[in-house]
Amino acid sequence: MKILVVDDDRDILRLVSIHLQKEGYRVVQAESAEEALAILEHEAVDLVIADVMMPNMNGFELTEILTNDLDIPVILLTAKGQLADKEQGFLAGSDDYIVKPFEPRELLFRVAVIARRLHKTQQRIIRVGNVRMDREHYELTIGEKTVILPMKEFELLAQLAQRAGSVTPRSLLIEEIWGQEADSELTLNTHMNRVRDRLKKYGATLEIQTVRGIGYKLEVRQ
Amino acid sequence: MKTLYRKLSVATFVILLLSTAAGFVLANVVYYSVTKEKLDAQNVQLAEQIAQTTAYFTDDAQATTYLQSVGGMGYQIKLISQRGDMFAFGTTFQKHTIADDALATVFAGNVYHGIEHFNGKYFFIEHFSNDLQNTVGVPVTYRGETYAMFLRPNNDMLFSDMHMMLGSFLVGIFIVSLIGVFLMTRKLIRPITQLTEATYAIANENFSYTLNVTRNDEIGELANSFTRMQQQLAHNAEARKAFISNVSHDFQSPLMNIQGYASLLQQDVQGEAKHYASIIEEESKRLSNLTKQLLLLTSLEQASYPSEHKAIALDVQLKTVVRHHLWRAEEKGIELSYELAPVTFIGDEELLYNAWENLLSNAIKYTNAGGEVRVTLQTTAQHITVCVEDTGIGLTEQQRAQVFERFYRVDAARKKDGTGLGLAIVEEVVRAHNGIIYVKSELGLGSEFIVQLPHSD
Repeated sequence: MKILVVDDDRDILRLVSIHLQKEGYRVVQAESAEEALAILEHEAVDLVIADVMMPNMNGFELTEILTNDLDIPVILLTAKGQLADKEQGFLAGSDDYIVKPFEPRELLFRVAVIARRLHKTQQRIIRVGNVRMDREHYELTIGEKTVILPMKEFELLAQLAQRAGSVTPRSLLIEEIWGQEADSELTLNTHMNRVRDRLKKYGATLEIQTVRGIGYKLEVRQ
Repeated sequence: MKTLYRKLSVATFVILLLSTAAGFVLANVVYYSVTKEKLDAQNVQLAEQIAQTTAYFTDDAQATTYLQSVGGMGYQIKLISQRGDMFAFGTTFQKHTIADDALATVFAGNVYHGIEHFNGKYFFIEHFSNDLQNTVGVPVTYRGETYAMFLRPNNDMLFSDMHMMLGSFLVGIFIVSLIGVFLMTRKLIRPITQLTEATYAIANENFSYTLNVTRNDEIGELANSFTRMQQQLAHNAEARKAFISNVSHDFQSPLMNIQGYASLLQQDVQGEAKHYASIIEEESKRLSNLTKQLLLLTSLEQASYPSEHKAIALDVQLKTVVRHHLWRAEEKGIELSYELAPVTFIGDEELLYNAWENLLSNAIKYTNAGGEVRVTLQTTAQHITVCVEDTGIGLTEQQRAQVFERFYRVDAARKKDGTGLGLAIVEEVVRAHNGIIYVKSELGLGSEFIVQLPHSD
């Protein structure tokens, strides 16, 4: 995924770029909104991360152009944490905002959310049994209570829920969630047990059955 | 509410009563000093003419017819002979006694000025008294004999009409006066009501309420001063906001750099250098937090902090806060859950957001991997309750007692990025919304922070 970072503070620009590159994203830099727009004329990016307070055109104005004309998602960096500014950001069309100073991991987390949104055209909400799953927020809702699951556990359950009643092969699960990581087989078992524990704890009317040699199947208990 | 309408209406009513009384007295004075005499003189002239005419008659029948026709024209006549015989013409007198000295006066050849000297009970109203004493008396010589003739104009009919006229007159005056006062009061009150509304708007940090007052009097002057004050307040509020955002930016941007590069540095060096770099990172994070919280406290403390109170969907707000801290919980392996009832509350959105954020980040900070943090929002008939519960390290009884104090930090040695201000701010915010906050905790098992807010109606 290619990300364009826009900030008039060169040091922050570099800091953010380094972290993104370490995570494996391709990064393009711009020191002003005008420079950013110039770059976008001949280069396509998947996401823009922009500072709000910049001389001349500020982050809000840039966001409006990016959202309305170019349809590119925007994350705003703001040192002002006040609500009015966050609201202004959303009104301008930004997808998210982070308040400076932020931990690089926080930024990476938010970038990952947008990356998922872009990558997969899966359905966002899955309903199965007495459970409602919100893929964007990793939320599991049963009755009035909502729990946010750790990302990998959530994804595991989501993959099974999508194919409720049919078997999901282990290989698919490992590839979707862990990629080429080593020890994936063992990790899958551990996570699957954790998911089972959680389902039981929250009183979900779901059951995960092991289909030997192939994978797992999610069934709705009657 | 004691409104001006009621006060002015009552005042008008009292003034009308007093003026009616005063008018009555004045009319009386005029009557006594001027009118009575004139009336008496008029009637005396008339009586003397009638007496003269009567003297010419030689026939009783003729005389009687004449006197009766005079009576028919609207006069009350009593003819009294020296022997005491009484003859009445015209409408009879209601009170028909006459003083002896009155009779004596007339028989002596003088005029009896009854009208001029009559003193009834009701001052000038007694002008209408149907009393034999309220007459003029003249001597009449008829067929050689002297009679006393007492005469007065019969204004009974006139009087009953006068009753109605006077009554309608007074009622008309009262009604028109009261309506007039009511309308005038309304005109006066309108700018005052507008000023009151504008004042409420200012209390809610709305400085753009336009006053439609174009008068040139004292109230107009007040409205103008008020508008100038509004503008000044708006200016101040803008200046304050600009100050806070400028300070924020000017402090937080460099701090971000220090923090960020220190963290990068730790990945590139080893041993002591790495340790030093981590100290730099921690301290800069702490400064960041401190700046943010001090700015917030300053805002809260301003004596005239006008907070923008509006209707907030607390469940939506809490959900946003939870989702924003997802990444940190994820990192630590903490399970976040929430159960939020749909509740609307009228308050300052920004302050409340900060409060929830402080509570949640505390809960996550003091809970270890595998732990849980739960946020609940409930409503009962009495209040709205927000709970942030964790299975973290908990607090001792002593810590529980001090935890809301400014700059008090539990375990100051270890958690270096705390400032001790977070919970103090939360308490101020909660109190500013007329709520209470308290903590239940058990060392090693976890804590629960409970905020109770009153309903907004």
